[in-house]
Amino acid sequence: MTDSTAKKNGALRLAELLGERVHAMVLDLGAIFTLFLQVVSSAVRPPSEFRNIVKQMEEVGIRSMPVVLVTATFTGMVLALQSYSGFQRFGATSFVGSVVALSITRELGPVFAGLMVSGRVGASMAAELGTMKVTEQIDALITLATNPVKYLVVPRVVAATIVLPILVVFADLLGIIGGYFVSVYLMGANPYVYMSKTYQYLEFKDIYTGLIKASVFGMLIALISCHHGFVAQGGAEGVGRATTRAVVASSMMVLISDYFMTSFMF
Amino acid sequence: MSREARVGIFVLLGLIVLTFFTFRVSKWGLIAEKGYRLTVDFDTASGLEPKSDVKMAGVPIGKVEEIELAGNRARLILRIQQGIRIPIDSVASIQTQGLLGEKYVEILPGKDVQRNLPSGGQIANTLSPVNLDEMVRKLSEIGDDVKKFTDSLSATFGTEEGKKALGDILRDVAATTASLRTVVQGNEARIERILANIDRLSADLSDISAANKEDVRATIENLRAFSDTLKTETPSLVRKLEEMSERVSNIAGDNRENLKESIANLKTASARLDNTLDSAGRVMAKIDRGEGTLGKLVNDNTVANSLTGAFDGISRYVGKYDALHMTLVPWVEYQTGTSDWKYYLNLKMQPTADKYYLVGVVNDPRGKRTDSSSFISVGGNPPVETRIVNFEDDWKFNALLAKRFSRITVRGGIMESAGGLGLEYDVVKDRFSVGADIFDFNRPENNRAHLKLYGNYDIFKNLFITGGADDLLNRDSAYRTFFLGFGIKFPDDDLKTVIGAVPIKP
Amino acid sequence: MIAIRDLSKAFGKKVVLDDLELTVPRGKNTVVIGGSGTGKSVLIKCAMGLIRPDAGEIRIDGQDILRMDEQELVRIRRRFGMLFQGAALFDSMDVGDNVAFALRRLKMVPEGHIREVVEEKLSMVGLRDIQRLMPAELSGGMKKRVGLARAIASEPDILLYDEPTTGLDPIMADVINDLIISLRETLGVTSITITHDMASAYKIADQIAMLYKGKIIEVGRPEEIRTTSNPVVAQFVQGRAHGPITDESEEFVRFVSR
Repeated sequence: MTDSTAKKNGALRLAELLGERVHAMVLDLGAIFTLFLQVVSSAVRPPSEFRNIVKQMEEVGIRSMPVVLVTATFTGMVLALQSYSGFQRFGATSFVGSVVALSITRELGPVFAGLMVSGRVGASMAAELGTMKVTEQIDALITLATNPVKYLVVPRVVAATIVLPILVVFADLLGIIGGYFVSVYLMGANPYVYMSKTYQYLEFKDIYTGLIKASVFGMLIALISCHHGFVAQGGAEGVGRATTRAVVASSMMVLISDYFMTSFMF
Repeated sequence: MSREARVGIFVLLGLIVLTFFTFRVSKWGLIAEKGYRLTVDFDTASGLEPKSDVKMAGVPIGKVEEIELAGNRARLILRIQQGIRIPIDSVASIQTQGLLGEKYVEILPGKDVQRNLPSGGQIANTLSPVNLDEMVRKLSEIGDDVKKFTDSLSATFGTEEGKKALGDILRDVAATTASLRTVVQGNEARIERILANIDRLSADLSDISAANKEDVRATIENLRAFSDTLKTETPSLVRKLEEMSERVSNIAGDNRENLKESIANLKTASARLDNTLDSAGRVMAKIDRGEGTLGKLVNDNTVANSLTGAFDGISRYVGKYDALHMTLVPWVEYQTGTSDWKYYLNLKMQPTADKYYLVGVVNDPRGKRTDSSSFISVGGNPPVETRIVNFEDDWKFNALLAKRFSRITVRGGIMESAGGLGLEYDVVKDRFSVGADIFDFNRPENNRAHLKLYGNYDIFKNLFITGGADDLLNRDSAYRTFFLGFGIKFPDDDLKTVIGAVPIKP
Repeated sequence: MIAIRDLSKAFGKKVVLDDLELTVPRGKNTVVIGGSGTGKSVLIKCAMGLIRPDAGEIRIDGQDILRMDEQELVRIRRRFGMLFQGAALFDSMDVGDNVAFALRRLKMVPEGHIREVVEEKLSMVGLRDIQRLMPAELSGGMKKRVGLARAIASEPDILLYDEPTTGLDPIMADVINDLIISLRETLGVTSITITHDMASAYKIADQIAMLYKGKIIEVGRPEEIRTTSNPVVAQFVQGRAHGPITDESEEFVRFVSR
């Protein structure tokens, strides 16, 4: 083979690879959207999945509390630290409280909670469903006249959608408290001024838009993770791959959707 | 605990926290609102926002709830905390917190403590905020006055009568300066010493080096003694001395050799003392009586009034920050390459530590350029064009804006009547700084921009020496020069004293 | 009766089922034999509607399941029970919940009776008092039997066995064989078993079908298959390394022809 054909083949191969990737992405997107439609249509059909939803709420919500709360507290603390030293330069330290509160409720609370949940819960959902897939448990569900989407995906999606805003409410609170502690005890801010500034510029809109975002994040994380679990194949290795993909895709989706939601809502 | 119970507690706690937030955030729901409402009308509510504070004696007592237009005025609806009583004759005003800070409504409590404003009542008395527009209007009034002043000046001196009057005045001034000689005579020995010192100082400065630092120090000691002496004199005497020493220094600079002779002349001239003092007295009396245009001008109170008014406006605005430091900085530079003197007088206005404005004038020995060309024919050859460029000294002005970032100060604006940029670095804080200015990018004959490198060293708080290199990029090496110089900083307080001593109003 | 006609399925370029024809008589056990990777599992997953074939028809009592919508498919699946190769027990639930899964989902038995019914089903596969155990605590044979109990819990009339004896010791394999026979006798179910274990096939089958290259190449009673004249079937059932199957397949050639 001559050099030029090798080069041409290389270029072609690259184009092919790119095409495959794009193709795979489009397929994934389509599959996830189809899954979403299936979830919506099967969620309303009997039997009710109430117990499963509660179980998943415990899994996604209560079990994620520690990691989300620790993240939020430290986010609030570091935010206070950073904005304090920045604002000191133009004598606006009294606004640290406002900055921390607004950043946490509008952006960092939902996004960090979303990222943490996509890491923790997304992985476990993808791994669990992936294992069920490769050990034929999902086929077994079908043979037992049970729709796997309804039985497995609906409770996870519903639970994550409900639970993430609740997590974010706690994250908001802990973030603000973390910022308060750093500002008041480390930087010597006036506690009264700090608290009054925290709430002075905080509108309820800031909080509820954060919660709407969180809800969407929860839904996306659950959908994406379940999808990757569902399409897993090839034993333990396949499950591992599905888990990685689920975490990466859902984390990315959290950030991407965050941008679009922010630009629409604010 | 069952799973349902755990999840239930989780959700419940979340709702409790959320409810807590809804009560704490300011712009939400009618449930959280306590207190009573008051309205107040202002001409303008610019800068004010809903949720801004309402304060009484600096203590927050409520918030601005709504801002709406009532007629063509701004109507604020305030929510005042329960239990706060506001006398019916209280005055509301819009204030600013800090520099460019947020606006808030300040309520100055009235004296009628028996009658308080009821819920839904209106605060009738308001003070309009001092706003920038008003200040600009006042400033333009000043501008008009200044213009009027210069107009009348030109009218005065333009006419034949004016010229005569000017001649009179100048003669009188000459007589006045002559009368100074008496003063000199009284302190002959001392002044001689001073002049000798100045002489030595400028000599020292022109070849300053580490070796004769001691001399400089001694000179400065002497200078201090000099200024102390000046201070002990009456303000008018100080003023006269200043005028005189300026002249003297000119003489000293240009004509060091003749200095002593001049002084001798001064001595002889002192005989005419009584006579000249009388003349001066006559001129002053004339001016005082309002005779002549200058007298009218000086006696016309309107200019002075509007100036005072404007200064009041500015000081009210500026007084809030209580930080506009003004420093008057005169200094001279001796250019070694061209043996020229360059004089500076700058006013530095510093509202905050990190920025200042600088306006001033510079007397540049090569400020005015005249190009002429002549054709010279030598030995029957075709005439050769010879271009002659002459320089004369001229006044130029500075107007700079400077911003400080830690030790580095960046400044820009008009430098010596041309656009320029500068950078200054504090090597030792408030003591020793080095810097570079580059300006006048558009010089004739495709010359390169004017680059000046300098270092300033504060020997004392108010006295500094300077040195460096000027016009480094000039294509003509003759104009690249080193320079040395010194200057004095008159800070705020001294300046105010000086301005206070000058009788603006007779 | 299950009638499969012209069934074709390809994964990408690999044709797994190629115009396959098979009739499964009611109340009988049909065993499909064939080598590994010849598409036996695909065949029964098609029969259950887990995999949608490319073409053909599968008629359950005359109804073609490939023409059904999702609702009808769910309804027809209630008539099926399936034992998976790895049992596919739900490992997040205990044995009792696994067996009771369909009963609860379909609300076939009131909640109060579930334990009883589950115990009865478990006893049918020779197990008792293990309802509280988790699948991870069970041996391979027990898992298969629990899987079987779960498959028959909703009382299906068609049972599909995917390699029921694979991975079990011979004794346990025979226990499972006996169970399959007894279930057919006591419940009268129609069943399809796929296996490559000939001992098991001869024991449980009423009819054996040989799947080779995507087609059923021979159907007959066990003794007919045992004495078949078809060289391909003969090689398979006798378990010989040399024969037409290995001669044609490249993957065998290298080893066998040495």
